[in-house]
Parts: sequence; structure tokens; C-alpha cells
Amino acid sequence: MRIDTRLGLALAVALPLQLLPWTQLTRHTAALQWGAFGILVVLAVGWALRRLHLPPLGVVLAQVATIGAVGLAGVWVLHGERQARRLLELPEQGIEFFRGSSAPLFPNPGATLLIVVGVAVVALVADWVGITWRRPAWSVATLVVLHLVVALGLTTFTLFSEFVLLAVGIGLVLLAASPWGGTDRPATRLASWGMAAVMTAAAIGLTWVSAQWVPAFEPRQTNEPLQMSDPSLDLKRNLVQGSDDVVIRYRTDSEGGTYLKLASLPALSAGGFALSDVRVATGRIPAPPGSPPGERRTTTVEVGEFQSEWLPVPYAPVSFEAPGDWGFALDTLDVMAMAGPDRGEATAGISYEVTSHEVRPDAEAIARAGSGGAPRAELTSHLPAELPPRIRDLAHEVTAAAPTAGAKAQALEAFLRSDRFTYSTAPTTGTGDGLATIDDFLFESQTGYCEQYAGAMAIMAREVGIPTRMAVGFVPGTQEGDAWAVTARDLHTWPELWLEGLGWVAFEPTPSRGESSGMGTPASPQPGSTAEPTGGETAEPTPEPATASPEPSPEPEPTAVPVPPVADAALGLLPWLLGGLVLALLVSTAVLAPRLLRARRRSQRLAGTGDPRADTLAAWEEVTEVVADVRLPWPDGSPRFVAERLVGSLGGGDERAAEALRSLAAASERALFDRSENFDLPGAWADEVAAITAALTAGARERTNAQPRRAARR
Amino acid sequence: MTTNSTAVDVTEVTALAQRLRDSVGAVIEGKPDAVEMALVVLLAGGHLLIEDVPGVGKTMLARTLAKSIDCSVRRIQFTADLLPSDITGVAVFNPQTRGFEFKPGGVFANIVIGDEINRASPKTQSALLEAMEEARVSVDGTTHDLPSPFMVFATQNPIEMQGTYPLPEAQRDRFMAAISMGYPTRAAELDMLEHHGARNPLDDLRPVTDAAGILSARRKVGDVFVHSALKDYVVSIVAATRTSDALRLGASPRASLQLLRASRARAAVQGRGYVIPEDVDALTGPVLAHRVLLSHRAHTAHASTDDVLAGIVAATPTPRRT
Repeated sequence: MRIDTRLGLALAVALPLQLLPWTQLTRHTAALQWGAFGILVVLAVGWALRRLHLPPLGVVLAQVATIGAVGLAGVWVLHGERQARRLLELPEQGIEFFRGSSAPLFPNPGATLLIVVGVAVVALVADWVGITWRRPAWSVATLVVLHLVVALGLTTFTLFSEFVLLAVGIGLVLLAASPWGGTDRPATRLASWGMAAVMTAAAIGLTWVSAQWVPAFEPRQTNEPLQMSDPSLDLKRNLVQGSDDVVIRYRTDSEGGTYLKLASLPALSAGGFALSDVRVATGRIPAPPGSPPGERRTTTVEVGEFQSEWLPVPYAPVSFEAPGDWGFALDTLDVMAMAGPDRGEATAGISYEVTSHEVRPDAEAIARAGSGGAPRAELTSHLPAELPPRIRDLAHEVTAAAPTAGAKAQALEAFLRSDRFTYSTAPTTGTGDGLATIDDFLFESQTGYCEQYAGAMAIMAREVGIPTRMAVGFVPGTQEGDAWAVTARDLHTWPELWLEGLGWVAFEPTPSRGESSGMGTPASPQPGSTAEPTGGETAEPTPEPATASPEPSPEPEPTAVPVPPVADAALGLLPWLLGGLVLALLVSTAVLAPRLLRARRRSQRLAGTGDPRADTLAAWEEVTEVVADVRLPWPDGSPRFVAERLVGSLGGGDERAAEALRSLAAASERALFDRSENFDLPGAWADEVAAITAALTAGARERTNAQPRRAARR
Repeated sequence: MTTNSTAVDVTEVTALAQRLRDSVGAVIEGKPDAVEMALVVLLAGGHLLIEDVPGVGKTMLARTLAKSIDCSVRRIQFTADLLPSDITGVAVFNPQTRGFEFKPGGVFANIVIGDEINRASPKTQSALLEAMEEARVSVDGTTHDLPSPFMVFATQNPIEMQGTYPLPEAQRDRFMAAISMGYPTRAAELDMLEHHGARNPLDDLRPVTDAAGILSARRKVGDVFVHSALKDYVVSIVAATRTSDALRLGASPRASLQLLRASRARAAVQGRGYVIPEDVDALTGPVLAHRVLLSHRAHTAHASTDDVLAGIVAATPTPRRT
């Protein structure tokens, strides 16, 4: 087996092996599989094109094109056509995602692209260094790189078994590079084993040293005192007096828009929900508490005339890129401005992108959930002593039939959304979510707006043992094309309930604020918001006709009628595919054209013109070009001297080729310098040229095989 | 596939050259290049100047080659008191016939070995050089043809300056090639001690050809084909010596002629009926070096004529592609 084949096979095994530990780094094993596929494709393309004697640059270009294609295909297959179309934005998004995430990573199209392309590029480098550059021992460094990524990405020291993988990979590559089972001296093999040992030791040392520095990736807590303001204070004024001017526009890949959350109010007193002490940190946002299942969403937000120290982000933010100095609360993951006199206006006029982990459990999942394991449960479960007993009774009464915490939450939500309560922001209703106001809302006026609905649910849920907190932010707003517009009147508050295994789940107890009060916006976003992130999809369908009806229309479409979207996707990707095809054609033309021209020249030269003299010279010229093809210098001198020098470069002591070369040289010399009318030699040299070409190519191969051995010994 | 019926057949020349080479090689050991040059000059019909320190075998080479050919050989030891008539011959009065009778000088032989030619006076030198050029001698109005073939081996000692008359450039031009023997290699010298210590190797030498064989070979050499591209090459090289900054005096048109003739002979000696660029390249030094003069600048730069000529050859495009 030729050395490039051996080494290629070794790399094809060793490189994907190093991806196995990556499973600790990301939950998205499909991306890793695509990465491994990328490695194999890059190596295969390199191997095949080298077989065609393509110049090294051509090989690299083709491999780069391959990497691009595999990256695009990976994103398309794993994340859909829409993400594939955003290909150019994906790298930046992926970098942001990596920067803002901690292991294990969630699926993200940017991350997928970076992983697949990055891993394939590492394979390209290994291929180039090991095979094209003939430094197989150095290509081991690429294995170390793949290994180090894991070592650096994990805060814990890498396991022994992963060193074994690395050592196996290094051993494989070096064995492939060394003359395995050949006639070479044992010292050579010893040297390659020594090299393997040194490289492994270096990798272990490097990993260990770098592991010591990894804590730098942990979020840094700040001790700066920050004065926080409760964004719910102005809620009613905003709802009543707020203009219909759009204050926020955003685009998101979340179905039906997204709630933009400003702050969480976990502390409950007789006066209502309030902020608690906030532990602020900067750096990488930790995973949301409770490790809820969910989807990665990307939302780009443009804020207009809305001034706040709280950044409107979808819960739970994973990473964000916003101008200014932003930190986040470690408990609630709310994002807030960090410093400066203008903290209170930090959001005005900025644009930013947020990657979030969207928790949208279905009704069954909620119904099954318990309520254990809440962080800071003493705060989020606390009920003031002043809580009126009839509220406690009502809570138990409403949830009596529900077996689990999740079912109780659903029952409470359904109860509040029932006809019993009327949405109104009229001045006569109470303001805020103080216990007295809630009591009045539940038993006397039965009229209120979001603060009362949400407050009532949050308090009653605590009564039945579910930790809760209030969230302040915006409802999804109105869809305008592919963007969503949010006005000041969309300011909203909703309860978040802690459910075991789901983390903080947003509920929407507030029914439509539309017609009944006569004060809300006519084209209310409420149906959208009910279908939204809440656990509104309750088990009991009877009180929820409004929720059930708008939901099926947008939801089942992609699943029930799968054919049109797929066709659409294919159509949408068509320009990309065509572009890729044209690019691939251009690249392969650029790469193959010289070879085709070369083959054409060869056949023309050997075709014969009937003039033996010209034919002999053409055959000789073909030999000069073959010599150039195998990268030998053309010896200076007349043909006979050239032939004598070239005989040493023929592979395997090919006597027939040497004889052919000498005859052709003698004939060419006479064709060049002897009396032309005397020239009576045969003009057909095709067989001789074929023998010479084969022998020269074989000689070049022998030299290629001999060189890496020397490299391995060094 | 080196020769065939219609190409120029030089096998006879090649065989002759090989016989001479073997014969001379038995005496002159370790000097194949000098022997080869001597053969080339002999077959090209030129004269050879051998310049070197005493004792390296200059005269021996000449004598060996001469003895390998069954022809008349004369040796003239040049001294300061040698007269031109000693070279050319003289007409003496014969009392019996009451007329003048020509008594041929030393030059009347097929091969003339002129030892230490630079010791003779310029007048005597020019008598020999004239005979070399014309292949005839005029004494008292009578012209006497020299025997054919006629070849002069002249030796001179470059370091002994006392009492010498170095050959003027114009005279040196008459020699087809100038070579130097150089010291033998250690092995060759040891070998020489081993074999030649007891007896003179020349004693065992038998002629391998005769005057007629040489003449016939010379005719064949004249038939050797020279491609026009190679003639052009020769002219380019010679012309380049005339324009080179490193040379004060370039080579003459005679030099071009002799370079081409020597190239033909070399091709034939090596078994080719046609000249290749290597022939010209190999002969440029020996044929041109003694004809050109270094410029002052090249002198101060310690360049040698061989270096300058090698540079010229390297800079002249070689006709290898049609």
C-alpha cells in the first residue's frame, strides 16, 4: 500500500476517534457525525485527486470547496433550509453561541457549521501536512488540536480514556508513516514509537496545563452595587396611556413570536411582587436552572423609544450580543445594564441579537411535572402571613382535582381564563398585585388586567406548593411581514412557575384584553400570546375555546402537509445549490483543465505525422514534459546525456524503459543534429514513450515513498 | 541505432581513434583528456601546442602519438641559436652537379615535434609557423611541399622566462588547440613508477596506423555533418569573445573554422557522423583559450581565460530544440 493511502486511512480513523470525547461537549451528536463525515470526505477527495496527479494547490482548492459543501449540507439537513440560507450569518452566530454557552452545548446551526467546517479544516491541515508536505509526524498535532478542544471546553480534567483515544490516534498515524513490516531497520520503528510517546506526553502535558486555566471561562460575579428599578411600576400607566407607536421590532425563529422578558419579580410581600436581591455576573450565561428541554432560538431585536435598564430578551437567554455594558442576574438570567449614569436608558435605540433556550413544554409534560428542586425556594415559595384565608381556600378548591403540581398550574390558569373574570384596565380597577388588590380581583370586582391575573395565579400556585415568580416584559406583539412589532401597550406581566424537570415555565392566565373592556388595542395580540410560550395548552379544553381554535392553523401545517414546505425548501435552496454547482464546476474546470490539455498534447504528439523526424522530436518533447510532470529537473545537455541522467530516475530498474529512453534519445539527437535527408528512423514512439512514462512515474512514486520515512526518522 | 547506411559512416575513424587511444594510453597514463585532444587535433588536421611545466610528459605524449603512426617523425629542439634554415632546410652548392641542391630542414616530416618552441628567436619561430600554415616551404625562390599528413606538436614551458621568446598572439593562432598536461593523479603517478621504472615504454610501441590511414580518416572527418544551428552556435560563441568585457582580444575567424573542424573530429572520434553542441562546448576552451587575451579588468579580478570562455559558452543559447 502506498504511503499516502496508508496515512490517509490512518487519519480517517484517528481524526474521527478524537471526536468521541466531544460528546461531552455538545448534546448535538448529529453535528459531530457530520464533522466525522466531513473529515472522511476531505481525506477521500485529497486521496483521489492526488491519484490523478493534480497539483497540490488544486487538491487543496477542491478540498476547501468540499468543506464548504459539507458544512452547508450539514446545516441544511440538521437545521433546515431556512438556516442554510442564512449561511453567511451562521459563523458569527456560532462564535457568539460558543462564547455565551457552557458545556454541554445545545444544537445551534451556527455551532453545527463551525463544528463541521472546523473539524473538516483540521482534516485538511492533517492531510496537507502529512501527505502533501510529507511530514506525517507533524500531522499528529492536528489530533492533539481536536483533543485539546474538549480539554479546554470542559472544566473538569479530561478522562484517562480520552488520552487512550489520542494515543491510539497518534500511534496509528505514526505507524502508517513508518515502514510497517518493511525491510527497514528496527531503529526507524523505534524512532517512530519514540515520537509517538513524546507527542502523547506533550499532549497530556498541554491538556493538563490548559485545564488549569479553564476556570477563566466561568461567569464572573461583580460586586458593583446596582440600583434596580421595578419595571412593573409603570405597567398600568403604560397599558392605559401607552401609545400605539412601535417601540420594539424583532425577528425570531420562534413560532408565533416570542415574549420579551425584562425582569423577574420573585419576592412577594403584602404589597405584591417585587425584585429581590440580585447577584449580577458577566461573561458566559449559565444554562437555565432545572436543565429544561427546549429549542435554540435566535432573535434579533431593534429597540426604538423604549428606555430601560433591563434588556428585553426571550427567556432563557443563552447568549446575546448587544452594544453597551450588560450583565445578567445569576438566579433569574435577566439581563441588565451594568454601569454608567444612563443605565436607565441603556435600551434606547439599540439593536442586538439573542440566542435563547426556549422552554415550551406541551400540556402533557406540564401535567406530569412535580414541583421539587426549585432554586432559592425560600424566596419563591414564600407567602406573606397577611394572605387572606379565602385566597388559600380558593386555591385549594380550584386545584383539588389535580394530582400533580403541573396539573394544578393548568387548573389555576384555566380558572383565571374563565368567564368569571373580566379583563379591564379601567381606572376603577385596582393597581398592582398587592394582596388586597388580588383579593378584590378574585372575590369582589373580578375585573382586572394582567397584573391581577398573573399575581393571582402566582400567589395561588405558591399556596398549592409551586414556587413562582412574576415576569415583566412584552407580549409577542403584532406580526408585520417576517418581523414583529411591539408597542408600549404590549407591556405585560405573567407568572412563571417552577416545575420539576421543566424549570421555570411561563403561564398566561390573562385572557384577551380586547373587546370586553373596550380599551385594549383592537387587533390584540392575545390569541398569539395564548398559543405562545405558556402552558396555556391546558388539559381541560372546555374553558379554552379561544386557545384551541387559533392554534391548529399555524401548528400542524408543516407536519400534516409536509410536501409543499419541502418543495418550497428545495426551491428556496435552488440558487444556493446552483451557485454551489457552478462553483464546483469552475473549481473542477480550473483544476482539471491543465490535465485535459496535457492529455490532449500527449495524444497529439504521439499520433504521428508521417514525418519520422518531426515525430521523433515530438516524442522526445513528450518525454521532457513527463519529466516535468514528475517534478524532476530536466538535465542540461544533448539527448544522449539527458537520457543517461534520466535512466537513474526510472523506477524499479526498468531495463526496457531504459533501453527505450536511450533509443529515443539517440534518435532525437540525430533528428536534431544529423543531416535531415539522411533521417531514416522510425517515427512511431508511442510504446517507448508509454514505457518511459510508466517508469518515470514509478520512480517518482518510489521517491515519494522514501521521503516520509526520512521525515519520520527525524 | 547510432549509425546506418545513409548516415555518415565514421566507424573507420572511431576504430582508428580507439587504436591510437589504446596505444598512447599504454604509455601516457591517467591523461585521457590530453590524449583525446591530441587525437582530435591530429584527425582534424591541426597543430597542437602543449603548454606545461617540465617533466609532466609533454614531449612524451607527442613522441608516443608519433610513434603509433607509421610515418616520418622529426624532433627539433628549439634553442636560442637555432636558425630558420635549420627548420626549413637550405640550398647548398653541389660541386659535382655545379648546382644548388635543397637540403630539407627539420620540418620535412609527417610529424614534427618542436620542443620548447619559445626558446628560439622570433625569426626562427616564424619560419616554423609559416610552414605550419602553408604546409610548404620556400627556399631561394623554390617552393617545397611538406609531406602529407603534416602535423606539428609544439611544447612550451610557461614558467621559465629567462632566455625565452614567448609566442606572439598572432603566432599562437596557428595552433588549432593548446592544452596543458597537468600533474598526474597520485594513482597514475604510482602506476607510472611501477611500470616505467625499468625500461622505456616507447621501445615496445608498435605503429597502429600509417600516413595513409590518417589521411583517409581526415577525409572522413571532413564529411561529418554539422547542422546549421550548430554553425550558428559556433559563430555566436566566437563573436561573443569579441564583445566580451573580460577579453581584450577576441578569437579570429580562423578560430571559428578550427573550432568547427575540431568539433567534427571529436564527433567522429566518439562515433558520431554529426556534431552535437557538447562537441563545441568541450572544444571551446582548448581551441579558443590561447587565442584570446584577458582584459585588464579581468586580470585584476584574477579570472582565467578558461573561466571567461566557460561563462561565454554558458551564456550562449544552446541549439537543442528545433
